[in-house]
Amino acid sequence: MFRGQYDNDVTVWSPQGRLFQVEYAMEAVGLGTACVGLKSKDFAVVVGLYKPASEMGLSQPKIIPIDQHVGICIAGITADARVLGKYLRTECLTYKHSYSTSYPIPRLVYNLGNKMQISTQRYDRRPHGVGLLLAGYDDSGSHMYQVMPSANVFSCKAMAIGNRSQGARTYLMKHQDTLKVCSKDELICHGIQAMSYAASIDEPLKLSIGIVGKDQPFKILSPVESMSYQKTCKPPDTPDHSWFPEALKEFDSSGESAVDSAAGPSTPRTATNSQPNLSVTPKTSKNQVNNKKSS
Amino acid sequence: MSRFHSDSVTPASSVVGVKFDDGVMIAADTLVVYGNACRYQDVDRVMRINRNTILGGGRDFADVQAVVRTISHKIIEDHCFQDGHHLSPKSLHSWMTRLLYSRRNKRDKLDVDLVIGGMTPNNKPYLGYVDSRGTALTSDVVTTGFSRVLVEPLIRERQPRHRPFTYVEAVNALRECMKVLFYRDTRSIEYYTIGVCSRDECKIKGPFKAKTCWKIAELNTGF
Repeated sequence: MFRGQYDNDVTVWSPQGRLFQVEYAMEAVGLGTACVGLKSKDFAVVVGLYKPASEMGLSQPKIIPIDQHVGICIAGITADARVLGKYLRTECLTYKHSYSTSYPIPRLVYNLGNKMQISTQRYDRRPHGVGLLLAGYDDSGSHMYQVMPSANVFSCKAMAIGNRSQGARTYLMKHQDTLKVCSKDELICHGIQAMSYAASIDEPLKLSIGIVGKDQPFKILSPVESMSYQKTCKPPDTPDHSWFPEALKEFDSSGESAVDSAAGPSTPRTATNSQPNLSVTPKTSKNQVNNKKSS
Repeated sequence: MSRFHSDSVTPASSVVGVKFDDGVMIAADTLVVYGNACRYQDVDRVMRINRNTILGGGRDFADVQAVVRTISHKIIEDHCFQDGHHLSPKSLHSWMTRLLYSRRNKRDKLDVDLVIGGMTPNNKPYLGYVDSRGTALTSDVVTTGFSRVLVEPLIRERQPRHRPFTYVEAVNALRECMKVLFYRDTRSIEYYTIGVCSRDECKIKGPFKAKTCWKIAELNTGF
Protein backbone atom coordinates (compact mmCIF):
# COMPACT_ATOMS: atom_id res chain seq x y z
CA MET A 1 0.00 0.00 0.00
CA PHE A 2 2.71 2.42 1.02
CA ARG A 3 5.26 0.85 -1.16
CA GLY A 4 5.84 3.77 -3.45
CA GLN A 5 6.87 6.05 -0.64
CA TYR A 6 9.42 3.73 0.93
CA ASP A 7 11.01 1.86 -1.91
CA ASN A 8 13.28 4.41 -3.51
CA ASP A 9 16.22 3.91 -1.23
CA VAL A 10 17.72 0.92 0.50
CA THR A 11 18.24 3.04 3.60
CA VAL A 12 14.52 3.68 4.05
CA TRP A 13 12.40 1.43 6.24
CA SER A 14 8.71 0.96 5.60
CA PRO A 15 6.30 1.40 8.53
CA GLN A 16 5.89 -2.40 8.56
CA GLY A 17 9.63 -2.81 9.13
CA ARG A 18 10.54 -3.90 5.60
CA LEU A 19 13.34 -2.87 3.30
CA PHE A 20 11.69 -2.86 -0.08
CA GLN A 21 14.85 -2.44 -2.10
CA VAL A 22 16.27 -5.63 -0.59
CA GLU A 23 13.03 -7.44 -1.31
CA TYR A 24 13.05 -6.22 -4.89
CA ALA A 25 16.61 -7.51 -5.21
CA MET A 26 15.37 -10.94 -4.11
CA GLU A 27 12.86 -10.78 -6.97
CA ALA A 28 15.77 -10.41 -9.37
CA VAL A 29 16.97 -13.86 -8.32
CA GLY A 30 13.65 -15.26 -9.45
CA LEU A 31 14.23 -13.88 -12.92
CA GLY A 32 17.25 -16.07 -13.50
CA THR A 33 16.92 -19.64 -14.70
CA ALA A 34 16.81 -22.33 -12.08
CA CYS A 35 19.75 -23.57 -10.04
CA VAL A 36 19.70 -26.72 -7.97
CA GLY A 37 22.23 -27.60 -5.29
CA LEU A 38 22.47 -30.67 -3.08
CA LYS A 39 25.02 -32.44 -0.97
CA SER A 40 25.75 -35.89 0.34
CA LYS A 41 28.24 -36.78 3.01
CA ASP A 42 31.20 -36.69 0.62
CA PHE A 43 30.05 -34.68 -2.37
CA ALA A 44 28.24 -31.48 -3.25
CA VAL A 45 26.63 -30.93 -6.62
CA VAL A 46 25.23 -27.84 -8.32
CA VAL A 47 23.14 -27.96 -11.46
CA GLY A 48 22.31 -24.92 -13.57
CA LEU A 49 19.75 -24.67 -16.34
CA TYR A 50 20.93 -23.01 -19.50
CA LYS A 51 18.63 -20.75 -21.41
CA PRO A 52 20.28 -18.97 -24.28
CA ALA A 53 19.10 -15.40 -24.77
CA SER A 54 18.67 -15.96 -28.48
CA GLU A 55 18.59 -19.02 -30.69
CA MET A 56 22.08 -18.57 -31.99
CA GLY A 57 23.53 -17.09 -28.85
CA LEU A 58 25.73 -18.74 -26.28
CA SER A 59 24.36 -18.54 -22.81
CA GLN A 60 26.08 -16.99 -19.86
CA PRO A 61 27.88 -19.46 -17.62
CA LYS A 62 25.71 -20.58 -14.75
CA ILE A 63 28.49 -22.16 -12.75
CA ILE A 64 31.63 -20.32 -11.74
CA PRO A 65 34.52 -22.31 -10.28
CA ILE A 66 36.06 -20.46 -7.35
CA ASP A 67 38.85 -22.69 -6.12
CA GLN A 68 39.81 -26.35 -6.06
CA HIS A 69 37.32 -26.97 -3.32
CA VAL A 70 34.52 -24.47 -4.06
CA GLY A 71 32.21 -23.54 -6.89
CA ILE A 72 29.06 -21.46 -7.23
CA CYS A 73 25.93 -21.61 -9.31
CA ILE A 74 24.25 -18.26 -9.91
CA ALA A 75 20.73 -17.02 -10.54
CA GLY A 76 20.00 -13.39 -11.24
CA ILE A 77 22.05 -10.54 -12.59
CA THR A 78 25.12 -12.16 -14.12
CA ALA A 79 27.25 -9.05 -13.87
CA ASP A 80 26.72 -8.89 -10.11
CA ALA A 81 27.53 -12.58 -9.91
CA ARG A 82 30.79 -12.03 -11.73
CA VAL A 83 31.82 -9.43 -9.18
CA LEU A 84 31.01 -11.78 -6.30
CA GLY A 85 32.78 -14.63 -8.03
CA LYS A 86 35.87 -12.48 -8.46
CA TYR A 87 35.75 -11.51 -4.78
CA LEU A 88 35.45 -15.11 -3.65
CA ARG A 89 38.33 -16.14 -5.88
CA THR A 90 40.55 -13.39 -4.53
CA GLU A 91 39.70 -14.32 -0.96
CA CYS A 92 40.46 -17.98 -1.53
CA LEU A 93 43.72 -17.19 -3.23
CA THR A 94 45.02 -14.78 -0.59
CA TYR A 95 44.04 -17.21 2.15
CA LYS A 96 45.94 -19.96 0.40
CA HIS A 97 48.95 -17.67 0.01
CA SER A 98 48.94 -16.70 3.69
CA TYR A 99 47.95 -19.95 5.32
CA SER A 100 48.98 -22.68 2.88
CA THR A 101 45.59 -24.29 3.11
CA SER A 102 42.19 -23.89 1.50
CA TYR A 103 39.69 -21.43 2.91
CA PRO A 104 37.27 -23.22 5.26
CA ILE A 105 33.86 -22.90 3.59
CA PRO A 106 31.79 -21.64 6.54
CA ARG A 107 34.22 -18.79 7.06
CA LEU A 108 34.29 -17.97 3.36
CA VAL A 109 30.52 -17.56 3.17
CA TYR A 110 30.47 -15.67 6.46
CA ASN A 111 32.97 -13.29 4.91
CA LEU A 112 30.85 -12.97 1.76
CA GLY A 113 27.71 -12.35 3.77
CA ASN A 114 29.40 -9.52 5.63
CA LYS A 115 30.49 -7.94 2.37
CA MET A 116 27.04 -8.19 0.86
CA GLN A 117 25.42 -6.72 3.94
CA ILE A 118 27.29 -3.47 3.43
CA SER A 119 25.38 -2.79 0.25
CA THR A 120 22.07 -3.21 2.08
CA GLN A 121 22.90 -0.44 4.47
CA ARG A 122 24.52 2.30 2.44
CA TYR A 123 22.68 5.01 0.58
CA ASP A 124 25.15 4.96 -2.27
CA ARG A 125 25.03 1.22 -2.95
CA ARG A 126 22.42 -1.28 -4.03
CA PRO A 127 22.11 -4.94 -3.04
CA HIS A 128 23.68 -7.49 -5.39
CA GLY A 129 20.85 -8.84 -7.51
CA VAL A 130 22.04 -12.42 -7.54
CA GLY A 131 21.46 -15.56 -5.55
CA LEU A 132 24.24 -18.12 -5.22
CA LEU A 133 24.30 -21.77 -4.44
CA LEU A 134 27.76 -22.49 -3.16
CA ALA A 135 29.07 -26.05 -3.22
CA GLY A 136 32.24 -26.85 -1.34
CA TYR A 137 34.26 -29.53 0.36
CA ASP A 138 36.79 -28.97 3.14
CA ASP A 139 38.15 -30.68 6.26
CA SER A 140 34.75 -30.67 7.90
CA GLY A 141 33.03 -32.38 4.98
CA SER A 142 30.74 -31.27 2.19
CA HIS A 143 28.91 -27.94 2.26
CA MET A 144 25.98 -26.39 0.45
CA TYR A 145 25.17 -22.75 1.09
CA GLN A 146 22.48 -20.48 -0.27
CA VAL A 147 23.43 -16.80 -0.43
CA MET A 148 20.74 -14.23 -1.18
CA PRO A 149 20.83 -10.50 -2.01
CA SER A 150 19.60 -9.81 1.50
CA ALA A 151 23.06 -11.03 2.60
CA ASN A 152 21.46 -13.98 4.34
CA VAL A 153 23.59 -17.07 4.19
CA PHE A 154 21.92 -20.41 4.79
CA SER A 155 23.52 -23.80 5.08
CA CYS A 156 21.32 -26.35 3.31
CA LYS A 157 21.10 -30.03 2.61
CA ALA A 158 19.62 -29.15 -0.76
CA MET A 159 18.15 -26.06 -2.35
CA ALA A 160 16.78 -24.70 -5.60
CA ILE A 161 16.55 -21.05 -6.59
CA GLY A 162 15.57 -19.13 -9.67
CA ASN A 163 12.64 -19.23 -12.04
CA ARG A 164 10.12 -22.04 -11.44
CA SER A 165 12.28 -23.60 -8.76
CA GLN A 166 9.34 -24.51 -6.51
CA GLY A 167 8.87 -27.89 -8.19
CA ALA A 168 12.54 -28.68 -7.79
CA ARG A 169 12.39 -27.73 -4.12
CA THR A 170 9.42 -30.03 -3.60
CA TYR A 171 11.32 -32.90 -5.19
CA LEU A 172 14.37 -32.22 -3.02
CA MET A 173 12.26 -32.06 0.12
CA LYS A 174 10.81 -35.44 -0.70
CA HIS A 175 14.24 -36.99 -1.07
CA GLN A 176 16.17 -35.01 1.49
CA ASP A 177 16.66 -37.91 3.89
CA THR A 178 18.27 -40.16 1.32
CA LEU A 179 20.70 -37.55 0.05
CA LYS A 180 23.24 -38.03 2.80
CA VAL A 181 24.12 -41.56 1.77
CA CYS A 182 23.94 -41.09 -1.97
CA SER A 183 26.87 -42.01 -4.12
CA LYS A 184 28.30 -39.43 -6.49
CA ASP A 185 26.30 -40.64 -9.48
CA GLU A 186 23.07 -40.88 -7.52
CA LEU A 187 23.56 -37.36 -6.28
CA ILE A 188 24.01 -36.00 -9.80
CA CYS A 189 20.93 -37.86 -10.91
CA HIS A 190 18.87 -36.43 -8.08
CA GLY A 191 20.06 -33.00 -9.17
CA ILE A 192 19.03 -33.64 -12.77
CA GLN A 193 15.66 -35.00 -11.76
CA ALA A 194 15.02 -32.03 -9.49
CA MET A 195 15.99 -29.70 -12.31
CA SER A 196 13.62 -31.38 -14.70
CA TYR A 197 10.73 -30.03 -12.62
CA ALA A 198 12.00 -26.51 -13.13
CA ALA A 199 12.50 -26.82 -16.85
CA SER A 200 9.80 -26.00 -19.34
CA ILE A 201 8.33 -28.76 -21.45
CA ASP A 202 9.00 -27.52 -24.92
CA GLU A 203 12.68 -26.84 -24.52
CA PRO A 204 15.55 -29.31 -24.46
CA LEU A 205 17.09 -29.71 -21.03
CA LYS A 206 20.43 -27.99 -21.28
CA LEU A 207 22.27 -28.38 -18.03
CA SER A 208 25.53 -27.34 -16.52
CA ILE A 209 26.64 -29.64 -13.71
CA GLY A 210 29.38 -28.94 -11.18
CA ILE A 211 30.64 -31.39 -8.60
CA VAL A 212 33.11 -31.20 -5.72
CA GLY A 213 33.93 -33.62 -2.93
CA LYS A 214 36.31 -36.05 -1.37
CA ASP A 215 39.24 -36.57 -3.74
CA GLN A 216 37.28 -34.58 -6.30
CA PRO A 217 38.41 -31.04 -7.01
CA PHE A 218 35.65 -28.75 -8.24
CA LYS A 219 34.80 -29.71 -11.77
CA ILE A 220 32.19 -28.69 -14.29
CA LEU A 221 31.16 -31.76 -16.26
CA SER A 222 31.85 -31.60 -19.96
CA PRO A 223 28.80 -31.52 -22.26
CA VAL A 224 29.42 -35.18 -23.15
CA GLU A 225 29.54 -36.26 -19.50
CA SER A 226 26.54 -34.25 -18.50
CA MET A 227 24.51 -35.51 -21.45
CA SER A 228 25.49 -39.04 -20.50
CA TYR A 229 24.18 -38.52 -16.97
CA GLN A 230 20.97 -36.99 -18.28
CA LYS A 231 20.40 -39.98 -20.53
CA THR A 232 21.05 -42.64 -17.94
CA CYS A 233 19.03 -40.90 -15.27
CA LYS A 234 15.61 -42.37 -14.77
CA PRO A 235 12.64 -40.27 -13.79
CA PRO A 236 11.36 -40.76 -10.26
CA ASP A 237 9.56 -44.01 -9.76
CA THR A 238 5.90 -43.21 -9.18
CA PRO A 239 2.94 -45.42 -10.18
CA ASP A 240 1.10 -42.32 -11.22
CA HIS A 241 3.00 -41.34 -14.29
CA SER A 242 1.18 -38.09 -14.71
CA TRP A 243 4.06 -36.77 -12.64
CA PHE A 244 6.50 -37.90 -15.25
CA PRO A 245 8.56 -34.83 -16.01
CA GLU A 246 7.98 -33.99 -19.63
CA ALA A 247 11.41 -32.55 -19.96
CA LEU A 248 13.03 -35.93 -19.40
CA LYS A 249 10.87 -37.72 -21.93
CA GLU A 250 13.33 -37.27 -24.72
CA PHE A 251 15.92 -39.08 -22.67
CA ASP A 252 13.74 -41.96 -21.64
CA SER A 253 15.13 -45.17 -23.02
CA SER A 254 13.24 -48.05 -21.58
CA GLY A 255 15.66 -50.93 -21.63
CA GLU A 256 15.12 -53.86 -19.30
CA SER A 257 14.08 -51.74 -16.38
CA ALA A 258 12.45 -52.90 -13.19
CA VAL A 259 9.77 -50.22 -13.51
CA ASP A 260 6.34 -51.44 -14.53
CA SER A 261 6.43 -50.60 -18.20
CA ALA A 262 2.73 -51.27 -18.80
CA ALA A 263 1.81 -48.00 -17.15
CA GLY A 264 4.88 -46.28 -18.48
CA PRO A 265 5.04 -43.74 -21.26
CA SER A 266 4.99 -45.30 -24.67
CA THR A 267 8.41 -44.76 -26.12
CA PRO A 268 10.05 -47.11 -28.55
CA ARG A 269 11.95 -49.89 -26.85
CA THR A 270 15.57 -49.79 -27.64
CA ALA A 271 17.54 -52.81 -26.66
CA THR A 272 20.81 -51.41 -25.50
CA ASN A 273 22.71 -54.14 -23.79
CA SER A 274 25.06 -51.72 -22.14
CA GLN A 275 22.25 -49.97 -20.34
CA PRO A 276 22.61 -50.49 -16.61
CA ASN A 277 19.59 -51.95 -14.87
CA LEU A 278 18.16 -48.90 -13.14
CA SER A 279 15.43 -48.72 -10.55
CA VAL A 280 14.40 -45.58 -8.70
CA THR A 281 17.77 -43.97 -8.49
CA PRO A 282 20.59 -45.20 -10.62
CA LYS A 283 23.07 -47.34 -8.80
CA THR A 284 26.66 -46.39 -9.26
CA SER A 285 27.84 -47.84 -12.49
CA LYS A 286 31.39 -47.20 -13.47
CA ASN A 287 30.59 -47.03 -17.14
CA GLN A 288 28.00 -44.29 -16.80
CA VAL A 289 30.24 -41.42 -17.64
CA ASN A 290 31.99 -43.26 -20.43
CA ASN A 291 28.82 -44.69 -21.86
CA LYS A 292 29.19 -43.65 -25.46
CA LYS A 293 26.53 -46.05 -26.62
CA SER A 294 23.64 -43.97 -25.41
CA SER A 295 20.30 -44.32 -27.12
CA MET B 1 62.22 6.42 10.92
CA SER B 2 62.68 2.69 10.52
CA ARG B 3 65.84 1.12 11.77
CA PHE B 4 67.76 -1.12 9.49
CA HIS B 5 69.56 -2.90 12.26
CA SER B 6 69.52 -2.58 16.02
CA ASP B 7 70.88 -4.88 18.63
CA SER B 8 68.30 -6.53 20.74
CA VAL B 9 68.12 -5.30 24.33
CA THR B 10 66.68 -8.51 25.71
CA PRO B 11 67.87 -11.42 23.63
CA ALA B 12 67.24 -15.07 24.30
CA SER B 13 69.30 -17.97 23.09
CA SER B 14 68.70 -21.10 21.09
CA VAL B 15 65.62 -23.23 20.51
CA VAL B 16 65.79 -26.90 19.49
CA GLY B 17 62.96 -28.83 17.85
CA VAL B 18 62.77 -32.53 17.11
CA LYS B 19 60.13 -34.67 15.39
CA PHE B 20 59.32 -38.07 16.82
CA ASP B 21 57.00 -40.83 15.66
CA ASP B 22 53.90 -39.47 17.34
CA GLY B 23 54.50 -35.72 17.41
CA VAL B 24 57.06 -32.99 17.95
CA MET B 25 59.15 -31.69 20.82
CA ILE B 26 60.59 -28.21 21.25
CA ALA B 27 63.10 -27.32 23.96
CA ALA B 28 64.52 -23.99 25.06
CA ASP B 29 66.18 -22.71 28.20
CA THR B 30 64.38 -20.29 30.47
CA LEU B 31 66.73 -17.33 30.22
CA VAL B 32 66.31 -13.84 28.81
CA VAL B 33 69.45 -11.71 29.05
CA TYR B 34 69.62 -7.97 29.68
CA GLY B 35 72.91 -6.56 28.49
CA ASN B 36 75.40 -9.01 29.97
CA ALA B 37 73.28 -9.94 32.95
CA CYS B 38 71.22 -13.10 33.25
CA ARG B 39 68.30 -11.02 34.32
CA TYR B 40 65.11 -13.00 33.63
CA GLN B 41 65.75 -16.59 34.56
CA ASP B 42 62.28 -18.04 34.68
CA VAL B 43 60.86 -17.35 31.25
CA ASP B 44 58.87 -19.92 29.29
CA ARG B 45 60.20 -19.58 25.78
CA VAL B 46 58.17 -22.51 24.45
CA MET B 47 54.47 -21.71 24.26
CA ARG B 48 51.32 -23.65 23.62
CA ILE B 49 49.35 -21.97 20.84
CA ASN B 50 46.40 -24.32 20.60
CA ARG B 51 45.62 -28.03 20.87
CA ASN B 52 47.74 -28.79 17.80
CA THR B 53 50.51 -26.24 17.86
CA ILE B 54 53.47 -25.19 19.96
CA LEU B 55 55.98 -22.45 19.29
CA GLY B 56 59.49 -21.75 20.53
CA GLY B 57 60.98 -18.25 20.22
CA GLY B 58 64.59 -17.12 20.24
CA ARG B 59 66.55 -13.89 19.71
CA ASP B 60 64.84 -10.64 20.73
CA PHE B 61 62.30 -11.75 23.27
CA ALA B 62 60.24 -8.56 23.12
CA ASP B 63 59.60 -9.29 19.46
CA VAL B 64 58.77 -12.90 20.29
CA GLN B 65 56.18 -11.68 22.76
CA ALA B 66 54.73 -9.26 20.19
CA VAL B 67 54.43 -12.09 17.69
CA VAL B 68 52.76 -14.37 20.24
CA ARG B 69 50.29 -11.60 21.11
CA THR B 70 49.28 -11.32 17.44
CA ILE B 71 48.94 -15.08 17.20
CA SER B 72 46.74 -15.26 20.29
CA HIS B 73 44.38 -12.71 18.69
CA LYS B 74 44.05 -15.15 15.82
CA ILE B 75 43.35 -18.00 18.22
CA ILE B 76 40.63 -15.96 19.91
CA GLU B 77 39.09 -15.34 16.49
CA ASP B 78 39.11 -19.11 15.92
CA HIS B 79 37.33 -19.61 19.25
CA CYS B 80 34.72 -17.04 18.29
CA PHE B 81 33.90 -18.76 15.01
CA GLN B 82 33.19 -21.99 16.88
CA ASP B 83 33.24 -24.00 13.70
CA GLY B 84 35.70 -26.63 14.79
CA HIS B 85 38.43 -25.27 12.56
CA HIS B 86 41.69 -24.59 14.40
CA LEU B 87 44.88 -22.99 13.18
CA SER B 88 47.19 -25.79 12.11
CA PRO B 89 50.99 -25.57 12.55
CA LYS B 90 51.45 -25.51 8.78
CA SER B 91 49.10 -22.54 8.43
CA LEU B 92 50.75 -20.73 11.32
CA HIS B 93 54.17 -21.36 9.83
CA SER B 94 53.05 -20.09 6.43
CA TRP B 95 51.45 -16.98 7.91
CA MET B 96 54.49 -16.16 10.05
CA THR B 97 56.72 -16.53 7.00
CA ARG B 98 54.63 -14.01 5.06
CA LEU B 99 54.53 -11.64 8.03
CA LEU B 100 58.25 -11.74 8.78
CA TYR B 101 59.26 -11.48 5.14
CA SER B 102 56.99 -8.50 4.59
CA ARG B 103 58.39 -6.78 7.68
CA ARG B 104 61.90 -7.46 6.43
CA ASN B 105 61.10 -5.85 3.11
CA LYS B 106 59.77 -2.76 4.86
CA ARG B 107 63.09 -2.48 6.70
CA ASP B 108 61.28 -3.00 9.99
CA LYS B 109 62.41 -6.44 11.03
CA LEU B 110 60.98 -8.46 13.83
CA ASP B 111 64.17 -9.95 15.21
CA VAL B 112 62.97 -13.46 15.98
CA ASP B 113 63.85 -17.10 15.41
CA LEU B 114 60.71 -19.16 15.58
CA VAL B 115 60.32 -22.91 15.76
CA ILE B 116 56.73 -23.92 15.06
CA GLY B 117 55.60 -27.48 15.55
CA GLY B 118 52.57 -29.63 16.06
CA MET B 119 50.08 -32.03 14.51
CA THR B 120 48.47 -31.33 11.14
CA PRO B 121 44.74 -32.04 10.64
CA ASN B 122 45.54 -35.48 9.20
CA ASN B 123 47.56 -36.36 12.30
CA LYS B 124 51.06 -36.04 10.94
CA PRO B 125 53.79 -34.31 12.95
CA TYR B 126 54.92 -30.98 11.50
CA LEU B 127 58.04 -29.01 12.41
CA GLY B 128 59.08 -25.74 10.84
CA TYR B 129 61.46 -22.86 11.29
CA VAL B 130 61.16 -19.23 10.29
CA ASP B 131 63.54 -16.38 11.02
CA SER B 132 63.62 -12.61 10.88
CA ARG B 133 64.58 -12.60 7.22
CA GLY B 134 61.61 -14.69 6.30
CA THR B 135 63.64 -17.82 5.61
CA ALA B 136 61.37 -20.76 6.17
CA LEU B 137 62.05 -24.45 6.22
CA THR B 138 60.55 -27.66 7.51
CA SER B 139 62.59 -30.55 8.77
CA ASP B 140 62.80 -33.46 11.22
CA VAL B 141 65.27 -31.50 13.32
CA VAL B 142 65.23 -27.73 13.65
CA THR B 143 67.76 -25.64 15.53
CA THR B 144 68.30 -21.90 15.93
CA GLY B 145 71.25 -19.76 16.89
CA PHE B 146 74.06 -21.50 18.72
CA SER B 147 72.36 -24.84 18.74
CA ARG B 148 72.70 -24.99 14.99
CA VAL B 149 76.44 -25.38 15.39
CA LEU B 150 76.72 -26.99 18.80
CA VAL B 151 73.83 -29.34 18.91
CA GLU B 152 72.48 -30.21 15.49
CA PRO B 153 75.34 -32.64 14.73
CA LEU B 154 74.64 -34.32 18.06
CA ILE B 155 71.03 -34.96 17.18
CA ARG B 156 71.85 -36.03 13.64
CA GLU B 157 74.25 -38.58 15.07
CA ARG B 158 71.57 -40.03 17.28
CA GLN B 159 68.92 -40.03 14.59
CA PRO B 160 67.95 -43.59 13.72
CA ARG B 161 68.07 -44.40 10.02
CA HIS B 162 64.82 -45.20 8.19
CA ARG B 163 62.56 -44.43 11.13
CA PRO B 164 61.74 -41.42 13.30
CA PHE B 165 62.75 -40.99 16.92
CA THR B 166 60.64 -42.63 19.59
CA TYR B 167 59.37 -40.45 22.43
CA VAL B 168 62.09 -41.65 24.83
CA GLU B 169 64.87 -41.25 22.28
CA ALA B 170 63.74 -37.73 21.49
CA VAL B 171 63.63 -36.73 25.13
CA ASN B 172 67.10 -38.14 25.72
CA ALA B 173 68.47 -36.37 22.69
CA LEU B 174 67.04 -33.06 23.88
CA ARG B 175 68.37 -33.61 27.39
CA GLU B 176 71.84 -34.10 25.98
CA CYS B 177 71.47 -31.01 23.80
CA MET B 178 70.45 -28.74 26.64
CA LYS B 179 73.38 -30.00 28.67
CA VAL B 180 75.86 -29.25 25.91
CA LEU B 181 74.28 -25.85 25.33
CA PHE B 182 74.68 -24.93 28.96
CA TYR B 183 78.31 -26.05 28.92
CA ARG B 184 79.24 -24.10 25.82
CA ASP B 185 76.80 -21.21 25.31
CA THR B 186 77.68 -18.37 27.67
CA ARG B 187 74.24 -16.81 27.46
CA SER B 188 72.31 -19.77 28.75
CA ILE B 189 71.31 -21.36 32.05
CA GLU B 190 70.75 -24.92 33.09
CA TYR B 191 66.97 -24.72 33.44
CA TYR B 192 64.88 -25.49 30.39
CA THR B 193 61.36 -26.39 29.33
CA ILE B 194 60.25 -28.89 26.72
CA GLY B 195 57.00 -28.49 24.83
CA VAL B 196 55.45 -31.72 23.56
CA CYS B 197 52.71 -31.79 20.96
CA SER B 198 51.49 -35.22 19.98
CA ARG B 199 48.27 -37.07 19.28
CA ASP B 200 47.68 -37.55 23.02
CA GLU B 201 48.74 -34.29 24.53
CA CYS B 202 49.93 -30.78 23.95
CA LYS B 203 51.78 -29.52 26.98
CA ILE B 204 54.78 -27.52 28.08
CA LYS B 205 56.79 -29.62 30.53
CA GLY B 206 59.44 -28.44 32.91
CA PRO B 207 61.37 -26.58 33.95
CA PHE B 208 64.02 -29.27 34.03
CA LYS B 209 67.59 -28.86 35.17
CA ALA B 210 70.45 -30.01 32.99
CA LYS B 211 72.68 -32.46 34.82
CA THR B 212 76.15 -31.07 34.45
CA CYS B 213 79.50 -32.03 35.91
CA TRP B 214 82.11 -29.35 36.31
CA LYS B 215 84.92 -31.53 37.57
CA ILE B 216 86.78 -31.02 34.32
CA ALA B 217 87.03 -27.33 35.20
CA GLU B 218 89.98 -28.18 37.44
CA LEU B 219 91.85 -29.47 34.41
CA ASN B 220 91.22 -26.28 32.52
CA THR B 221 94.52 -24.58 33.30
CA GLY B 222 97.28 -22.75 31.52
CA PHE B 223 95.71 -19.39 30.74
